[in-house]
Amino acid sequence: MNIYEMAKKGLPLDDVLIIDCHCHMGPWQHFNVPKGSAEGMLDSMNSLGINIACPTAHAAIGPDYVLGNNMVIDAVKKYPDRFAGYITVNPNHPDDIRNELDRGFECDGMIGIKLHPSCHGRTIEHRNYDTAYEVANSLKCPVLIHVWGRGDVNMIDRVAARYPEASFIMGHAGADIDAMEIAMNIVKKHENVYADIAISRAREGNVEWLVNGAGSEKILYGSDMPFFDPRPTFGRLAYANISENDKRNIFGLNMKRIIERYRR
Amino acid sequence: MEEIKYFDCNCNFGMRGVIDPGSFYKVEDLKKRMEHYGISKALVYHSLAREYSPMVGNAMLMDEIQKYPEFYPMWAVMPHHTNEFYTPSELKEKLRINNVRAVCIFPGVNEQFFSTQNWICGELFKMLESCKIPLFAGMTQLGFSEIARICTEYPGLTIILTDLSYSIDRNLYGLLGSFKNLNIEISGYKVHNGIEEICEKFGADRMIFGSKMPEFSGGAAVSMVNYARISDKEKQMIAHENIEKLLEGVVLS
Repeated sequence: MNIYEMAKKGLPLDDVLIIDCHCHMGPWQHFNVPKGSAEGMLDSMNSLGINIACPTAHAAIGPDYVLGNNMVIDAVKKYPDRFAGYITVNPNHPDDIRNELDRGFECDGMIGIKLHPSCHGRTIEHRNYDTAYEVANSLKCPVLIHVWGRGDVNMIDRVAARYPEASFIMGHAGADIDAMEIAMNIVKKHENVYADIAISRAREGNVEWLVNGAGSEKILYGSDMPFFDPRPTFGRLAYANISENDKRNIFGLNMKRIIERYRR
Repeated sequence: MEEIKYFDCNCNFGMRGVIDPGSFYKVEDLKKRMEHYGISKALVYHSLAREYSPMVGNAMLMDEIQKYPEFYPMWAVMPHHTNEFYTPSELKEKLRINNVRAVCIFPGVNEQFFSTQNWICGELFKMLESCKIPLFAGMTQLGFSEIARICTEYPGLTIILTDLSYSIDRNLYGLLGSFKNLNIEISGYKVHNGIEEICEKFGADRMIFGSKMPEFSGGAAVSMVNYARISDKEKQMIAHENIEKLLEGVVLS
């Protein structure tokens, strides 16, 4: 059976490598997050066939990056085959960014850096993020950034050019259609820029449109789990009118290459 | 898993002011996408009944779905006081003649902009309640307090909340616990493990499958049910049995 046929039967895609490049973990201020723990996420992952989830904790993109990073470090140590974490830094604590990154990368299961400029009240190009970009550039690791709107996408264009060895993942692919159009051009322009499809506004035909515009090699499966459920984004991709190879690229092969580049 | 029969209770077709790339608007394209996603029947409204005029859009709906037996009409309704729409008694007769068994309202400020208080919609709600016609209404258009008031004052009126979000539980649980006449359409309900939680706390009979095509993805919608960690019976209830039961219970005579 192909991916479409498996999805119609509600079967986990066990023969497809699925790496969810955009996850969270734990409770959140604004709403209820049932089963938001690592174990709750594993239940969701197993039902769909997600091999590896790449989380940043809600606490870390919110008020306490140490609390959040510890939560993720604990998860990757407990389930090393199922989680690969991001170290999240907060630009409002610039003097601790280098220390926190060093502390995080001591753990084998941490594979990248997460930035949430919107929650932390700074822009993607704020100077306090420079340390994080420099570390990512030297380690050749991914940087997952919350990218929402045209302004954010255009900042990625400039930052990615300054740090060509880091892999930049535009979370939510820019979110709105105008921003996505620019994002598609930027992922084609820069070898080191990717876009993930995590967004609750699950538009009909959006995956097909992104693949036609940017190519399946630059699009990543990200679900935002457990901020919201992984099944809608999974379904958008599994049912998309694109080739089986395109789906496999997006589901996991592209992110595998990004992680391997860091680990080499 | 046995094959799930999907009855989509929230989709539409017709021209819209905003059509995202990759989406569609023609009735024949809705039919094709439904087939792709394994959806066999649908309750549909016309986009012009929402974005332009219920009278115009409802008429276009009836005309365009004639050759599609798998499409069941859902009319957008509104208050009658300005003579833009039928009085409740006229509406009741029109619904009977056209065998329309579900209606929707779009009272939001940025949509058809009317109050749902009794001095505006009271007669309409009473008629719908007496005929057991389910009313589809957007969460964002009504607000929690108004939903609670309508549920309280019209206990026989079945309300199906649409346009839910992943952030709604803290208010939704209280509403579902308090009002048995309240149900949810799940296309927007993307809470992590949310379907499983609602099944356990309130029962699968409170959820109704909808895709919100062509704005939202049919693949996203069916995957929420296909992969739900609930029984096959509960999946069938959500996918088609609950809405079929509601439509069968409508009294138009």
